[in-house]
Amino acid sequence: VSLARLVEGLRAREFSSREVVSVYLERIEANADLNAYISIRAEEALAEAERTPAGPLHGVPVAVKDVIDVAGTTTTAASRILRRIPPRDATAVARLRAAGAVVLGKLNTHEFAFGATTTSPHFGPAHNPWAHDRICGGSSGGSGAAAAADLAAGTLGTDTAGSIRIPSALCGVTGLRPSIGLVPNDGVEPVSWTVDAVGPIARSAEDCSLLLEALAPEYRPDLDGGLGGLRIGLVEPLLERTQPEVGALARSALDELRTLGARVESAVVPHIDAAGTILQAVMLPEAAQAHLPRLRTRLADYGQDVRTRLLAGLLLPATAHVTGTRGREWFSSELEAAFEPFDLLVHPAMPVVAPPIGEDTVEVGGERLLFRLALIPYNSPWALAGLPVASVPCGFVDGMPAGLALVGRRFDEATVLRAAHAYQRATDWHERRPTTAGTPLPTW
Amino acid sequence: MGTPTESSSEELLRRLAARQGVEPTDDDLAAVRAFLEILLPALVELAERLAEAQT
Repeated sequence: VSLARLVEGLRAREFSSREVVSVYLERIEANADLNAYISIRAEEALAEAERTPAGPLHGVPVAVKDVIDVAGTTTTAASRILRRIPPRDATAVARLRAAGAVVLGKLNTHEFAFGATTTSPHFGPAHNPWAHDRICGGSSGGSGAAAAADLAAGTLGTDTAGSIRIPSALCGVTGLRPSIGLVPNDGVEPVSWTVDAVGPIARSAEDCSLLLEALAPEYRPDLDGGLGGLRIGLVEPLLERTQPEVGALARSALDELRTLGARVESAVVPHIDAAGTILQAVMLPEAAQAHLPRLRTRLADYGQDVRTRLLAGLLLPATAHVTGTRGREWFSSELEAAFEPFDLLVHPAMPVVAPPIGEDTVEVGGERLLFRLALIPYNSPWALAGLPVASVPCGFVDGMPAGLALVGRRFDEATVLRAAHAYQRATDWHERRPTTAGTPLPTW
Repeated sequence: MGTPTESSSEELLRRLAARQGVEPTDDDLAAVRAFLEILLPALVELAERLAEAQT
């Protein structure tokens, strides 16, 4: 059952929001071993289901990453440090609720959304629904797991350096990192306030589009425009670096895009090799600054990996952020020119499928690399330039999902989701579901 | 125990952290030093590329 189908059925009163919320709450309990949720708002959600506004998401159960404030529910950021009970919703949550959505709970994340594995030492790892011994990716790993295992009809994640796209690809669901500035970040625990973006993770591009309509009034969907005549640039260096089986899936997806009428050609993205360094130079000092009061008083309470990154940000020379900011302008300007002949850029969303929990390295291009470092080239360029990127499922390697990334021009989410939707109308990768516990969702 | 150069780098990092009111452990400093040993040369190279791009 997609979010789009739920919207239709709830609007036609084929079933009630309370019925739908009850089914999802049962599934959350039955699949507690996935550790997708940090807190569950069972009583509140059932009560709210009785009195949701008659908006476009009337009665639809959603869940949000636990760095995003929901009034009256503790925000932990999967940390030992944060226990904020916010008096008001983050704007993103307020907009979903104003559209009629019901918030089921808060989802697991990498500690303070500052990492790619969602293996918080304080709340435990989120488990990939396709193989419980594997990571979900991160930092919005709980959002990826919940969307994949039907533990919410739609979810919110945040993305600084890939945190929506990584779990979407590794969990076999659809996620959209919107343009910087499209969805307000207030009420969201920051990583890097000039790079952070809040966005949806759900089953399909159509579902993400419905969520984005509520999140961003400026967004005008154009899902049925098709791919005819669309100019798509393939970022070949990112295809060449992938695990061969993942690369083969991406090539098949490109063939499908061509069949659907797109013109796919090679795109040259200048200085793409520098994007990771630039992003680190911007992000690390901003994160350290945001955490400085806690670094002074609660340093030992951070997990080791997050503590190291925050301290690195604190101890970089002051010139690092300046170099990063100048580098960002340089890279973004050159990228804009390189983007000119295209409507979209594409590449494999990630170079590998989800590795086992506890495995720090992956093999890419014959090299053993830290998982975190292997992902940087796939995520940093577009985050730096503030562009919208969707990750859509494009197949499986040994039972584990892989994704294709579609990158758009700034504030052109409509073309990104239009292409994703056209691809998903022609394929069924996004409809595949892992085996989960509990009563399956009714067909409704 | 690290080499004398490593120990000296970590001592410098400790003093920089202390001036900002932060007190990392020896293990923290060793991890940060290893992290920065990768990032700082990349930043130097980036600064050089930016300078070239301006000329």
